[in-house]
Amino acid sequence: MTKVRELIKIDPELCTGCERCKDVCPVNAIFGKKGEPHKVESSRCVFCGHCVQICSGYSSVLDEPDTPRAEKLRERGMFESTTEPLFAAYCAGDALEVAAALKTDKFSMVQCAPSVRVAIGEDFGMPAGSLTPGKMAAALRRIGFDRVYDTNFAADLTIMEEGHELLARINSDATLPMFTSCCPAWVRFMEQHYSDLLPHLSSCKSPQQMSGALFKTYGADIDGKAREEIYSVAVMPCTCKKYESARPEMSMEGYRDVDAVLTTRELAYLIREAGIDFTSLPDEDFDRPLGTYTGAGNIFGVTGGVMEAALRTAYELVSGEPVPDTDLLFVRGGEGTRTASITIKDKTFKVAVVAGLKYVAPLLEKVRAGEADVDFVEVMCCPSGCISGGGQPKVLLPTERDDVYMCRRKSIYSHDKDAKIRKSHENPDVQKAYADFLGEPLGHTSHKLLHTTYTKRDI
Amino acid sequence: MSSSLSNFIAADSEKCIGCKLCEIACSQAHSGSTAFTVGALTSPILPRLYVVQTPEITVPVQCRHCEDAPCANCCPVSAISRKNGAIIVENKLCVGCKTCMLACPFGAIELLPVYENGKPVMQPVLCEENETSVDEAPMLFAGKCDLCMDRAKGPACVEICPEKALSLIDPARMKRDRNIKAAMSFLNTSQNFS
Amino acid sequence: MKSFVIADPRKCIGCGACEIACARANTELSIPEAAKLRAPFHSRVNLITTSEITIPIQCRQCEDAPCAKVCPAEGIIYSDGVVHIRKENCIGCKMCILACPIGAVDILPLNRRLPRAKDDSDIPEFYASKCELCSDRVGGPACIEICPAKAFTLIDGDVLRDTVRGRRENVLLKLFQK
Repeated sequence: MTKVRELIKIDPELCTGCERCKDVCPVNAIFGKKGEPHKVESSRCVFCGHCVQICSGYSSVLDEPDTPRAEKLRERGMFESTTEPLFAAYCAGDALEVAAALKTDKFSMVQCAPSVRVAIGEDFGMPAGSLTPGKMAAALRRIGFDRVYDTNFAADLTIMEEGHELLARINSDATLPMFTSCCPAWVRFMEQHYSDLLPHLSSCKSPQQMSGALFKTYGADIDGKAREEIYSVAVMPCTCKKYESARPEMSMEGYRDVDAVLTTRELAYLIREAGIDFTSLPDEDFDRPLGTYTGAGNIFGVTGGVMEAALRTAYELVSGEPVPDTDLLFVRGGEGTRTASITIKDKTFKVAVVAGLKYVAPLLEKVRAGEADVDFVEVMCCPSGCISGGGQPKVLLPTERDDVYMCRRKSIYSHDKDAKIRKSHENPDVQKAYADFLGEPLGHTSHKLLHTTYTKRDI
Repeated sequence: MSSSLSNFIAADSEKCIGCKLCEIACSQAHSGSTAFTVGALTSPILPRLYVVQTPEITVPVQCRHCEDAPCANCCPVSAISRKNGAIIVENKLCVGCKTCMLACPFGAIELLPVYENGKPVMQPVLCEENETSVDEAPMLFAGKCDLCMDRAKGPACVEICPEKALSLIDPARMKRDRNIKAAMSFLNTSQNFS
Repeated sequence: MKSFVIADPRKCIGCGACEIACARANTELSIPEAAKLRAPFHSRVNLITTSEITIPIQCRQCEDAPCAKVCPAEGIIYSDGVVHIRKENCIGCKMCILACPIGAVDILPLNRRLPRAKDDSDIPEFYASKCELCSDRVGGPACIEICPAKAFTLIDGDVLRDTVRGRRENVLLKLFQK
């Protein structure tokens, strides 16, 4: 077994042993005695970063700890110029590495997850949930990325692949229910604790990895570059995406789909380090074709979003008619588990949405016992979906957290509502990618680039 | 007459888990900034109460709003006074003489940098190496608990504590309640006290 | 063991004479003088009357006095067999109020208009106050003396010891009778 990178750590000099992180950890990976510094056990950890978000053990300027701040910043992969207070629980970051790579002559391509554009403004003093895709694209160009693409394109692509996979499973009486595989913390949890159920996981890579795989093939071809010239970066609301990008399955012939992952917070560090005034940036567009997206791709950022996007497309694929109402309110909701069913052309599909990893076990036990009456399940590790991810701007006070998440959620949905195209299969550049490069969903190229396998992992 | 006694905030060490959220909420309540994420903070976290952790006990310590406040009595510029039932420091008057820090028996006062619009307020001072040149240093003031007098929802530390370890104490009411409790306790016993 | 005064709720008639006697015993003023000067009324014994019970509450002179332990100014000490407030040290921080489980301590404001005893020259603006058993009073605690219902008792070390021993013997006696 290869040792996993210790992504989530607790600084023993800052930890007061209050154990609030232990309470939110969905996999009991935090150990220690009350009142004493705690430790994260990386072999158990799913790297969701819930502990990073809740930790309030900050380093006071009135009481500097033994290790100087500059050294702590280096350990955390942060710029020396970053002034924000440091907390005990943190995610070892890659901002320094990305900044250095951008200075080389590699051809850099970047993608941004849907949740980043509704949160990054917060770290520059903008109101909660400020929707800033245009400023974000502008900032990424100014930082030095040669192509500014979007994970949302690959989210639309995911719907094409995953939707066809689901229909194929249903039509061939294959393993059901099928679980989504976009959330890497959830996938890791399955591999650790429910490896007997791995055939239930969709074989689709996550949108991040689909994007990355296309960057180094389709994208490289468009720019006339060789695969090895591409530096592929993803900006994610998620700390676990760093782990996902480093999985050996997520590379082709020795080249990783995604070379580095930045969290939303780390992108803010890079923007500050570059001296960019984020709030006064103009709105710019993402580059085509891998930056074109629909409203359906954008709602991947909230719990129920993947399900809703999938159902919009599945309805039309199965029935050949447009979905009566694009807003499928019955799959929307908050933390916990919810179920629904939708009838498409005489056939009723039963679906479930789980938000929060700690709620998933009862459903998995039912699946194990063969008693789960459901066809398709979306699971997200974080309580409100990716908008509440471990790499998102950290809300200082827990009393404000729910409001902030609500604002981010509203922005995600309003961005969908305002989109000209709101169904993944109508994305013109996704259609073009199939016509020019991929062939058809679940086809040979798709299988090679966009699908993956899972293995049992020891704890 | 005790109805005129100042309220103060006290913490229950049995409940405190040492998470320091009270410090963060306190700093936020006094920052005058709208930043609500860590990344948006333009000034350090500057609390007016201090979680003290020893092997035996963990509890935040803050001002008791003493009736004969030693800090106010010793202030040479009368920057500390009682206003609306709390001992308040007038930041603009404070010269950073540190006498109040010495006078306070609780260690409730700390010299904090003055921040305005997210930037430290600088002041010209004489440079140590070369006495004729003028340098800049951050302006400091005596920071202490003001019971969040201007905050609609009351003290921020009391509101945020996840363990409900902090409470705003009305000493006169507390005394009266305990008198009554002590009286009522006689009801539960048949023993002769005389 | 330090002595203390305690009242019997079955005897107390709630007349309030103890509060008046206490206030009078702890001021230099006579009642007519105090009335003329509109002096504030400060009793160290608190008569509590609820629908269920009527009883005065005052300091029990705890052996491990929590009020003394929390005082940051060495303002509460053991002196002459009572838990004594050193007014001159008091800073009015109210920690003793927080510590006392029965609410026996109060913080009083100094009234500059009133005449004071000679040894009271260093009293701060606010100071803690509580029952000190009228230790300077020839006749002993004023509350005991005044009570028409004889509800107060001064419990000293000997009384307490005798009471406890007597009860133990009682237990044996009852066991024997069975």
